[in-house]
Amino acid sequence: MKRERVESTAATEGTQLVVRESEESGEAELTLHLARNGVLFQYPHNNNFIFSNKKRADGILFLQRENDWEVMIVELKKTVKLKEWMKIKEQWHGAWLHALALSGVLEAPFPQPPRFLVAYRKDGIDENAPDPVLLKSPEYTRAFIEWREGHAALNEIGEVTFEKARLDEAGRGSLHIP
Amino acid sequence: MKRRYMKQQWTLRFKKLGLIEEGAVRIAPLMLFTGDNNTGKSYVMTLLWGVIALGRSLFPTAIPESESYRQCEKWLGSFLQEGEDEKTLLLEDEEVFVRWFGDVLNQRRQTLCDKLFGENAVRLRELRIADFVRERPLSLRWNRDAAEGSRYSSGKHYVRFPLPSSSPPRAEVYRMIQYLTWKLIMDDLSAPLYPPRSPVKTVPSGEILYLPAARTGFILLRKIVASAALSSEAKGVQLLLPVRYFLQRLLTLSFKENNRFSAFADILERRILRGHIHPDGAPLPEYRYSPQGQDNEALPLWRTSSLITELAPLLVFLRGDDDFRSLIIEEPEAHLHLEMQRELARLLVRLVNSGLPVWITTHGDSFFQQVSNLVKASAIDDAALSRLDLEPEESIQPERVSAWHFQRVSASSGRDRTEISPLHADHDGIAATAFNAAIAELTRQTLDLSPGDEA
Repeated sequence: MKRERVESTAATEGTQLVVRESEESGEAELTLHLARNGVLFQYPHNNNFIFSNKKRADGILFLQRENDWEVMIVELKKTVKLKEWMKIKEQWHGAWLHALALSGVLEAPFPQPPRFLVAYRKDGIDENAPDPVLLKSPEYTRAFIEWREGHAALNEIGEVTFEKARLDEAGRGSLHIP
Repeated sequence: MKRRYMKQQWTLRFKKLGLIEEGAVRIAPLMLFTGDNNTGKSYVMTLLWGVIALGRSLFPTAIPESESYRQCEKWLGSFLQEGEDEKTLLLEDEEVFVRWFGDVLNQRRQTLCDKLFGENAVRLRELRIADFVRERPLSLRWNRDAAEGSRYSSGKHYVRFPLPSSSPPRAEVYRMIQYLTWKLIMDDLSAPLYPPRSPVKTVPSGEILYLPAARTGFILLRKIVASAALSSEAKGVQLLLPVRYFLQRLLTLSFKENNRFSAFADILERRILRGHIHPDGAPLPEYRYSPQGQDNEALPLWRTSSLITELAPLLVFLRGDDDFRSLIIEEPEAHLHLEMQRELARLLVRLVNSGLPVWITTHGDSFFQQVSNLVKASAIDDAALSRLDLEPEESIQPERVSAWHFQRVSASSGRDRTEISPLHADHDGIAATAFNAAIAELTRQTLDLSPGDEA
């Protein structure tokens, strides 16, 4: 990976990396403890390259493997409800486009599809959600089932599995990645 | 409208009630039981009703010698010796009396269950009240001017005993402790410990009211059921005790102009029943229904729709002279169109906000959603409420709500059991755990059976 091409503010490297969401209403921080060396890309959200999807997840993690890289796309949320879930899927897709671009520019290939992770404080879409009437809409039901069963249909990528992590009340959490 | 709520909260804990190995429910002004069929929701409501309606009869006749009772005696004795006119009970003081009442309940649990469910039908392993809190402490006052033998009295936040001229006998102290304990735990929920008795009423004024499921059958057949119950074949009419009490109260009910709940009865008639229910002039009246604007028409209830017959018991108790301080309704949504379920949810929340604790079992997802929306509505201002066609007294703060999920689970032994879990309530609403998965599956099936729709 030709990291000199990346500004020092855009990426951090090591085995303990921190994904941050700095929006005032949903400040959050997820510490990733890695068994392998990793490079975490986080850069301003207004840097959206040329993609039509302007949304992007908070962090793009490249994890070193013997001959290539494994990519994990990380989004942090305060609450996940239907609206947020639809947005997360777009953010994952947008970040995937960025990951493809980074992979090409930095010559760091990764197999498809990457891993997707969402870390959140409050679950507003699971079986304990407060609005049963919303489940009578197909859109909400698809979201409910995706969330419950841990898979998501993403634009261009297709059906992928995803991982969940919980943040505490202050929006902090940590995760070990083998 | 000034909102009033019950002053106390506590948790009823029990072991081995039907399929429930161990359970606990915390009371609140509005309480909802949701979940699978046949999991014990009505059993728990019956038990709660029993503790509140029959609790006063469980105090031992003889002065107790238990350690928890001695602590009550010690506390009252210390206060007497202090020579003060008034003492406010701190949380740890309240705990002394609550612990003793918990012991009484536990010791007499079989007596209670035999009365409620029939002899040896239910054998509880434990029954207690715990985690007691009172929103404002209760005070104990001595009345120095009271004549010998004066009665005990109480106000919103105090009880008052005549000051004994000398050290009172243990029997007198025991009466005071029972009075104080009952006031502490059951105030706002039940009749007082020594309620005024009426020669025609079988149930003391203020007693908790239980409106059972299948109310249509009871309202239409109440005279037949009563007649059968009084016959020599009375053993043939086997009903849970709260249902028997409900029938007794229904039979001795008279309409009363302008009672505490008249305004709510008006709303029920105007918005839901769309007509009036009124008794004929007979001593044991028949109720008749006049559709809105057709006062000359008076239909007997058996010729009306199930909406009318199912809600008639609620209406007649709201109009009646039978005072009740708390209300249990099983499945209020039964037989109601969705729009009427929504209206009923709003009415019940109004009742709660007026100071009547209302405890409900429900399988109605629309009814539940409306209640959940009324909880959300407590976070918005009056102008926003108005835009939603809601009134301020139809919203309720989440901390006034206690909701529970009864779930049937298979044990490794192969024997099903019920687990009771609290449902989180906040300004986002109440967790709808009992409904979400079933509705989602139904929607998914519907989509799968809709060719042409995007899967």
